[in-house]
Amino acid sequence: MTLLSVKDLTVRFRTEDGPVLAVDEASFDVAEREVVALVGESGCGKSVTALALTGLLPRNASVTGAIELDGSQPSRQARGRDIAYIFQEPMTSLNPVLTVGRQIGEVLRKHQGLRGAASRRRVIELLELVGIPLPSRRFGEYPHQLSGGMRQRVMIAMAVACKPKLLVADEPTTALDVTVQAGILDVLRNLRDEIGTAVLLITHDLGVVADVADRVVVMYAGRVIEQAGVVALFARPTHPYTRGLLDAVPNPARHADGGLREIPGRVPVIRTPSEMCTFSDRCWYADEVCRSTKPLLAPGPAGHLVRCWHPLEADHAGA
Amino acid sequence: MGRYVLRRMLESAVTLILATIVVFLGIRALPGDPARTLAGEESDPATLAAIRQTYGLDQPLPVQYVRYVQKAATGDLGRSPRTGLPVAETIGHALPVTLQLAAFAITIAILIGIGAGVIAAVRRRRPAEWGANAVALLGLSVPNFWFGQMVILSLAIAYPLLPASGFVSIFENPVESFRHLLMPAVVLGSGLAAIIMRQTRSAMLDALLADYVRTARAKGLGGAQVVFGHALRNSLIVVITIVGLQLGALISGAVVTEQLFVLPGFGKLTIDAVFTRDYPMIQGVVLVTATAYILINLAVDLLYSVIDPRIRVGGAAL
Amino acid sequence: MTTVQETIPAIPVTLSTRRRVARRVLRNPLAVLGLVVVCAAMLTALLANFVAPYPFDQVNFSEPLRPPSGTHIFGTDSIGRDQLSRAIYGLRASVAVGLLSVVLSLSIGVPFGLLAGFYGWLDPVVSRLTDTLLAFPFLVLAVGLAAILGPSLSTAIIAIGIAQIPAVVRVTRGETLRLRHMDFVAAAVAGGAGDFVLLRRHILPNAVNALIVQATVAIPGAIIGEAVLSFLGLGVRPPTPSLGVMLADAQTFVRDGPWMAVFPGVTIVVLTLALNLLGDGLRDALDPRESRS
Repeated sequence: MTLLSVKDLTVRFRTEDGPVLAVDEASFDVAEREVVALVGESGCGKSVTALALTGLLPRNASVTGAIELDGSQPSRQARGRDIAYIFQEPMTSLNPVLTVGRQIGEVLRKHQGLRGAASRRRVIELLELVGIPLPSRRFGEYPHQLSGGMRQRVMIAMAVACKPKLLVADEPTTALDVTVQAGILDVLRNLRDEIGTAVLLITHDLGVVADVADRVVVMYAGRVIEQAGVVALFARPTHPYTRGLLDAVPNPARHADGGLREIPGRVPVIRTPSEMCTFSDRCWYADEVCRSTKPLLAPGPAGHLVRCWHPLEADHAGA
Repeated sequence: MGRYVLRRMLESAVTLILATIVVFLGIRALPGDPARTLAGEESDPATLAAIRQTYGLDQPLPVQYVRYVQKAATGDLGRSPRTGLPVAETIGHALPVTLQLAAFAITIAILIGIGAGVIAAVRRRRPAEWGANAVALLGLSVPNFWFGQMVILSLAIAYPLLPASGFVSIFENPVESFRHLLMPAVVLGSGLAAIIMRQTRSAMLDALLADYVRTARAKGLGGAQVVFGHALRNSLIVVITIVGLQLGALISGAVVTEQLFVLPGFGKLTIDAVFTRDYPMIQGVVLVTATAYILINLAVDLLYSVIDPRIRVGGAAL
Repeated sequence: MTTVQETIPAIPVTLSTRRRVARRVLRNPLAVLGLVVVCAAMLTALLANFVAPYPFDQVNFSEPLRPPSGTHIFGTDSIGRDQLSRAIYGLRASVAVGLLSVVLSLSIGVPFGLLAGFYGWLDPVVSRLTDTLLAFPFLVLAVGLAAILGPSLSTAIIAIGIAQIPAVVRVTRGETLRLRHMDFVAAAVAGGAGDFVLLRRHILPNAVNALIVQATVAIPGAIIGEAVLSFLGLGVRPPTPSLGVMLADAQTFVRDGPWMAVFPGVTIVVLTLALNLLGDGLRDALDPRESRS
């Protein structure tokens, strides 16, 4: 059952230095109870995509395309109730002068009209749900009194307070220690099981993707360039960029021969829609076709959706 | 929190001591015989001798200083050679006037400043913001006393609505007090209002761009809730700091305002003292001002620590 | 937008940065207006001798308290002196005080600020000293100085300059603390730079931006300060013309010659307004966080 459907989402920014095309006709779906990972390097447009879902982008952004949650366009009311967010920096994402209890309570009050003792009970329940010890004490504490991992759990508690259908997690573990990361991912997994929330997980960390995701959408320079189930993607990456990403993950077995492999060059800033493959200037296999015509997102040799004129055939291992 | 309070109090104490030393030395820095300075220009030898005795002017400086501080601490700031009255008493009569004026001015400034600041921050790029900005800019560019002169010209002379001078205590006659203090308070508070407005706007703009505001919006909170419940709350801390910092300017402003509107307050006392070469009075005034300023700043800092939970309750992993 | 907080690398100030700032300022119409007015004012002050229609102290008992007219655009005062000429010469005093007091506060404040920010053990000492200075509100300080030094233009300059020192120290100290931990400083240290070189060639140039911002606030304040002091009789003494003195004279004749109060005041307002606009423009241009949404 498709929960979220994104079709041809395009986001443009008007900036002092000129227009920026952050997202270029991105399309993907998230099914109920599914964990979809939106993957890519910094600047590829994944965060912008996430914020566009409920109109959280700044005023200089113009958004076009079709976004549907459960068949209809998400309204302002959907924020916090049907679609909830957790952000990367729990320290700055929580209001430093309000208590934890108060901040979680706000969501309950807004969407469910809960106040007073009932609200407090529910907040403590939520804190327990996300695995925070001594929840009744934490209720009255301030963000700076909690560790990074706990703050992130608080953010999650705030997000799932109203049992949203979709949880958008924007780099939830990037700012945390690896050991704490595992805990947070566990929480997300449990939530998916207990509450049935779908998760759109935004990350550049492939380890996290492998751990938790069901499906993966890979973005580059604002475009979706590959989509597949997680196992399939890792086993047979079809787009050269995806291949490059996977190769870049340090692996003693594979890299014993020499150095780490990185993809040369940098993610470009796209200003106007271009009629070519935006990865072509960094691609090992690029040719004239790539540089002159924009590839379409279509099923590739491994069955994944891929946007490439020369999708990789089976096994280019060690190339 | 306890450590912070202690540290601040210690710092204030040191500053206070330094300030008293400066004041003490200031008088001694005047050319001529200190005794004559303190006793007044035309004093007879007997008075001079008495002054020497009281202040211990033949003793070494540190001893003089200690004596000075001791006396000041007990409220003895010397006697004015001009009026013959004790300095402390004269100051005591002048203070309530200035305090009423200042309180009125601060209230006006906060109400207008915060109101205008919030409007300017929220209604960005719309006429209201430009209007508020323009007013704030004017507030900063117009000298207090000239503003006062213009106000007097229009509201007291051209169209006699309000009295141009004189003071009535609020405890005696609230209505008359209001009439007499309205113009001076507006004049005195205008500069402060402009600064508060700018800082509120700036702090609010920062707050509105902050991550936690994005979180609040993502939670589905409405505009007003975000502005008042989140952004403004955090900005208030800044405002309090500003008011604390501007106290000095307020005192300076009071000096001018009182001169202009002929209010028998602390400020007018100061100016009169300079022109009549009333050095004990000058010394007393300066000392009282510095002490008050240091103490009020300490109070503001401690208040600040109460309001900002980050300081009040120590952090875990900061 | 994106959630990744990019730390802005400390690029030591270059010529291109200055040019970019200048361009941004020029794009702001209000700032340009301010710049034009300020330049005009400074020129007028410099060329006062040529611009003023009458000498500032030329007394004319046959034309006392004349309202503005063809021969006397700003009118005359109680002893027939042309107000326009006096205002022009008064501008001179204002400009002088504005510039010199800032120079004074910078020459004392910057070294102290650098030292306080750089040497941790000096910080509390400098802080106590500046706190002590702050404990004396501006006019109280000026009163004290006037009592010791006697009222004059130089006393005004000194009083205003001293009153600004704490702000300069605070800004410099803040910038030094911030810059001290940046990579390019570490690189210089690794290259063998001594403390003095570090402060002078690395930290100070990068702190200049913040100091410029400070100056844009301080100069208009200084001009108003001079006017206040002269108004109260603590600064410039007659016959030297000053806008503040003119306003003090106006006070006595406010019923018979209201224009005496209006014109000098307007002059001050226009000048400080222009400075504030220019300052705002500079501040906006220097602030990298400015979002054009």
